[in-house]
Amino acid sequence: MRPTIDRNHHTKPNQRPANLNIKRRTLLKGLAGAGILSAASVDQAFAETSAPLRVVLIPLQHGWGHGSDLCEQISGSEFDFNLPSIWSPFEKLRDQLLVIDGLRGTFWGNAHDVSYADLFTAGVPYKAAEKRDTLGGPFPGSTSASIDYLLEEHYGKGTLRFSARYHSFGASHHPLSFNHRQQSLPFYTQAYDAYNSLYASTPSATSKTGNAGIILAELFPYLSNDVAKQLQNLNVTQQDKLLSYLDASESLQKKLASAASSTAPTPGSSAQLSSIPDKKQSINESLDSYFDMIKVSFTNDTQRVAVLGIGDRNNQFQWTDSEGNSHSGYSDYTGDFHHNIAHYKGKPEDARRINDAWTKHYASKVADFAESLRSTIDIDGNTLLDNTIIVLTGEVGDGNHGRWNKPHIVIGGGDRLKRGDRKMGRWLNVPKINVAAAGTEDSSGMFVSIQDDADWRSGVAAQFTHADLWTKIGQLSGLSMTSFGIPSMNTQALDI
Amino acid sequence: MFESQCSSCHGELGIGAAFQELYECDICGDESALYTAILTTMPVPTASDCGEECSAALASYIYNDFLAAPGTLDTSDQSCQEQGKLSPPQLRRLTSREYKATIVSVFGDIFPDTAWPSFGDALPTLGMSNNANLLSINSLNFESIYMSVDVIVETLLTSEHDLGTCLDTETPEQCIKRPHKEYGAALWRRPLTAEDRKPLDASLARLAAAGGSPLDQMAFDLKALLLSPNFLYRHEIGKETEGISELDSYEIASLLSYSIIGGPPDQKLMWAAAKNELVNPADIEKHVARLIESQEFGQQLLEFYKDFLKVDNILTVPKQEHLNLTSSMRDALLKSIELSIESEVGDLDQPLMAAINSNNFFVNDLIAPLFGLTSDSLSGELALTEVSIEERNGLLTHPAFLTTHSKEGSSGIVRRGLFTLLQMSCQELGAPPEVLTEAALPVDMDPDTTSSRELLHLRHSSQAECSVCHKTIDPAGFGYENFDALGRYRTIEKDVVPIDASGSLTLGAETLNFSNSVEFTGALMSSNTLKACLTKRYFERFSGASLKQSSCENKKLQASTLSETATIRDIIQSISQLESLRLRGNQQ
Repeated sequence: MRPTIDRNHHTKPNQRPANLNIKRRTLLKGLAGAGILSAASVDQAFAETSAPLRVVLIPLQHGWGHGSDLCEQISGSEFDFNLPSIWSPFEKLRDQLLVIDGLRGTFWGNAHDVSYADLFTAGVPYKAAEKRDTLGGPFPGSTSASIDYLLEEHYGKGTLRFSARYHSFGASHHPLSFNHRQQSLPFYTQAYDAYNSLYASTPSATSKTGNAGIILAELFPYLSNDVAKQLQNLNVTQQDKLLSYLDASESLQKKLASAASSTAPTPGSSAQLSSIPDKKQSINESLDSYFDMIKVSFTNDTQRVAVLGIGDRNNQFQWTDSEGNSHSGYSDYTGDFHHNIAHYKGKPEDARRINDAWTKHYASKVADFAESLRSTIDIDGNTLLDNTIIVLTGEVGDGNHGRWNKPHIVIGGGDRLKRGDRKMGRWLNVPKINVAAAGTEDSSGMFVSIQDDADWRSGVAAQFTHADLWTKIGQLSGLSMTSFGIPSMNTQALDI
Repeated sequence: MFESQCSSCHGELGIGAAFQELYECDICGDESALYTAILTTMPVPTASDCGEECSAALASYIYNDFLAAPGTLDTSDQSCQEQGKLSPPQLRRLTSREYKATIVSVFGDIFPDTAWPSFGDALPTLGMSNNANLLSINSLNFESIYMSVDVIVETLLTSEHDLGTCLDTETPEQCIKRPHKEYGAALWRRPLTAEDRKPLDASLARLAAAGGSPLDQMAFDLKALLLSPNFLYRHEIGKETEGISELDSYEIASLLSYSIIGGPPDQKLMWAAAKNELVNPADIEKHVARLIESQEFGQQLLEFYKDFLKVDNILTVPKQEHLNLTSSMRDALLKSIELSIESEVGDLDQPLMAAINSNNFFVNDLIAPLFGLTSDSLSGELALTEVSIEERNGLLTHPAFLTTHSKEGSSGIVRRGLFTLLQMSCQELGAPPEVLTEAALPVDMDPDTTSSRELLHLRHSSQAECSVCHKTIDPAGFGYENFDALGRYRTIEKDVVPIDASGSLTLGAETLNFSNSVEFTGALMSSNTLKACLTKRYFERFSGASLKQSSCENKKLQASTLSETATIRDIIQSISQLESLRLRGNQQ
């Protein structure tokens, strides 16, 4: 008898995803005839029931805005408001925007280090121990899985995880995504590698030596049994290593099965990559490739969730100094973006100007990506952007470590984010609360008051939290969930 | 509580990191006095962080632990097992070097470059890169391993290798199970048991029933062996009895072999394991003595030193364009420091620190300017070259090391200082303040004519929340100030500003005083702190685990190897005689 494997020995019951229940639907066959969808897309669409919601999470190192400063720059009413200048690239998508002017993140310890693991999990308890050994840096670990992983499980398809130089402390990528065993999930750090793995070098179900099909039919069950036998003799930490192996093995098995039944995209048509990344891409080219891969994967429905972390090491943007001179990049100004630019407060005016230009540069890239989704027709006849929610977030709200009011921008989603008879183009002016007496859970799950903790500064913060947002995103995607992460991070009052 | 509240300044062992050594505490008096001192003054700068309960607990701990039992070394007769402080069992995924070494050792050097997978491992900037908890198999690298195995199997079955010609010369029955019968034990570093063979045989039978050819069956057999966790992970698990796991002889053979020569156990080790000899310390000592004489041990030592100094990062560390650090120069710098290390690793009867002290500098025309030499008399070949002893002293003054740890466009006082303290001296520092503020310079001060050292002090280190740690970090960086971002020797910066590379650095009980970089690196390389840390890092690389300074096994090792005369040979033998080579605890 095949040994049974308990993969989620750390999982709390309320974190388990609900089963997906999608009905079969009629496809728009004409799309294929018109050359809008590839044959592979149509084949996959036939197997689908309704257009699924796709989700793209885009954390930007140091955040997407100026925290409370930026929130003060937004004025007007819910459907008639001004966008701060650094977000001006989103003007062309105004009818697709939901601007949330502040969500509260966890607030203890060194801002960046704590927040990486907390950003998509809301699951890092108060003063959690660093997991330098397994996370590659001084990062505390999460106690729960990340939202992208829950969605990945829910959809039964892999998640695209890309890091465009979003890293530090020698780790090749920040620990953002976690499974139920609290293991950090890997990111592609080079578009070239991602392309090779996702498209070019897809393991083949054929082989020059032997009949690969019948070999594989025996191979994977053999490996699973091998792991199951070994698990019995290991402690939890070592079991996790083999369970990660098992996950990887099964992921490959699915991929091989998929490769055997579909055609991998190649450049040249609407649902295929516009170009093949090479090894020496610039950061901007690499970013374009990542967006391209997300679009193609969503169009072909090979993946439905993507995480794209964007880091600060990029000199390919333009800015104008306070005397009106134009510059390319920041390296002539400083070699230390983090301390001399992102921490712009108290610095010369040019530091803020560089920070603004840098943020605006990426806003422009995201806006172009969203536009490309809007110009793609999905299997239900709506645009791909209507069936995709893009969330812009960050480990902090701004470069000055603000985590009380982290601005978020939600793009797309179509009718899913309908409010009354209005769809998007909305500003959610989040109420503020005083959190002087705030508390949270420690690693044992006990609620602790931390108002006297020097690291937990009292102040005015957003009423809602990023956990609230991830709960909503999960619900919109069909997950049965009412809360997310640790209990104190849930207000259950965010209405998007 | 001590770790979170005290160790960042006083050190994990109370021997001082950024602040006072607890053994020299002049405000302690008795436990009561210590309680009052902590309550009213600790931790700096926010004493309110530790209230009455916290202060009482810490006073009791410090008074009854550190002060009653001075010294950092565990010289007691009580074993780590008796103390309940054995290291835990672990699985260690093969590193990329170990993976290749194993395949080549078992099948021969017959594979194309495409046979080797990309593991995509993150290279930590601190600690050792073969930490078993960092080496994972995940959905990304497993694909690469799978494709690697495809190439290996194809190469084997289509080449002149014994497995490739088998079906031409022998019967299918003789060939089908040959992979696991003849190569299984070498690949898994232990004999296959009946329980191992049963599912393999069953799969082969099903494969045949499904119409699989003998070639299919051989391919399956090989893939099953190579993709199995038994191949991809080294086992240091053992068999548990009453909370203690004893590694078996085969596990010990692998541990010794991979850690000392970087590859799988040779025939002698496997025979010794088969006879269950490797549970005896004397037999272990005999095999260690043999293994460290091999050429592969020298290569392993080279990899250790590079990992300790993190100089492989020279190939990718970002530098500003105006510095013109080309790919060819980066390659040459790495090769140069490798040659410096290699020139010292042959003699096992010298201290582990000898390679760090190496003054054998290898220079070619590309990197000559970084050493202050003209390229006229040099060729493209790296050659042993004399450099000024007034300017350079050991590997810590090698441009490869200095460039790796400088900032993108400047020397990087804090960056070099942090690396020196955290990685090379095994010191602990607290986390930086939540919000880093920067003081304004005096209005009449021109940054272009002020030293980087002075600017750092005025803007940053002089501030109360920064000074506690920076008074240790900064001197560790000042000591390299005679070298710019590319490791070029200098006595002035910004064209006119004199360099001041003097300072006083406190490392535990030691204080290093220096007036320039040559004196600094000399003092550092002679310090017991650096020697002890180098030994600890070697032990970490050997064991694939990150060790606390206070871990029982580390203290035992330090006790036996800190003498002036301890050699590389002594250290390896000491490690091989530690309990943790054979025993593991299951505290978790």
